Amino acid sequence: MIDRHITYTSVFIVVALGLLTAVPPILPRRVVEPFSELGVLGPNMKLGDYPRELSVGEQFELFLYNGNHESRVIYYRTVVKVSDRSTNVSDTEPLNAQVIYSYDVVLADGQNATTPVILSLSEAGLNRRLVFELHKYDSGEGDFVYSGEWLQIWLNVTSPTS
Amino acid sequence: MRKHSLLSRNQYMLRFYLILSFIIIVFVITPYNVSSQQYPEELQETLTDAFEAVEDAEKKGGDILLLVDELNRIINLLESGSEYEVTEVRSELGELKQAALTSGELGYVDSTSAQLRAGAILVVTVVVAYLIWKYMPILVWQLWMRSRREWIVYPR
Repeated sequence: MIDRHITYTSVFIVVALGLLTAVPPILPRRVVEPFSELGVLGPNMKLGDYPRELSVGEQFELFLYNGNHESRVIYYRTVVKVSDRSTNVSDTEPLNAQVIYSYDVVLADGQNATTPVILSLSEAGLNRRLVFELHKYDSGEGDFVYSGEWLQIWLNVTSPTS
Repeated sequence: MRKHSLLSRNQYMLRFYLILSFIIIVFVITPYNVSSQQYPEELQETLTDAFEAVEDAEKKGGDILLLVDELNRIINLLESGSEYEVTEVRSELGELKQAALTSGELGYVDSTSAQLRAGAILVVTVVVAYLIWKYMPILVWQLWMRSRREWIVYPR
């Protein structure tokens, strides 16, 4: 009976080694949940240290963070819009508001980019909303499509005379 | 006569302000479309064409990291506001597209050869497993007998 035990064990080892060597390189990479990242960092590259009070025309610096975990290369466009409380932002429809800045970057899977941006607002007002939206280029449509990722910062913008 | 000329001037000013208001209103209420061109239209198209070529190269298994870096360098150049020659940028994007096509072809060849290699390994595995299954018991007993060559067997 020892011959059978040795045969079974040897066959098992050979088949296991063969499968482990041959199969992984040809299997497509499995992505559980593809996602993109959009982040806004304050002037010190930290979350939360955003400016709150600004005057019209005053320049302030923020950092835009984009990350790609979609398992494919993506052409991102981050747009910055200015609005107020009256408009709604949703995960399905981009905000219909004035665009003050736009930034493009192409990222391969697993890559990320942090980019400094200098912005200024031209209109005074309380509770002004700075909305950051992420759009992705869709080759099928030949256009940028809203990805549903968005962030916002609330600002009080005062006129220089007040 | 004087009154008539005053009226004409007022009418002219009214018309001017109406047209100006119309232009301002149209400009303000037109919703922003994110696809609006950031760069000259022809460059935007060439840029997206180059990106699509990179995308295809990746689908075919090509190495795209250098192509992505080059694409971002060109995008940064366009966004920086510094002066650039449109023809030069277009030519660079054309070269990038060509490099993406080459990368895609190489990736396709690599992935095909990887599949062939995997197939060959599986075939060899099956053959080796069959040979073991067929000849291992004989081999084991031959080894067993060889290791006990000096044994002397006595009848009971």
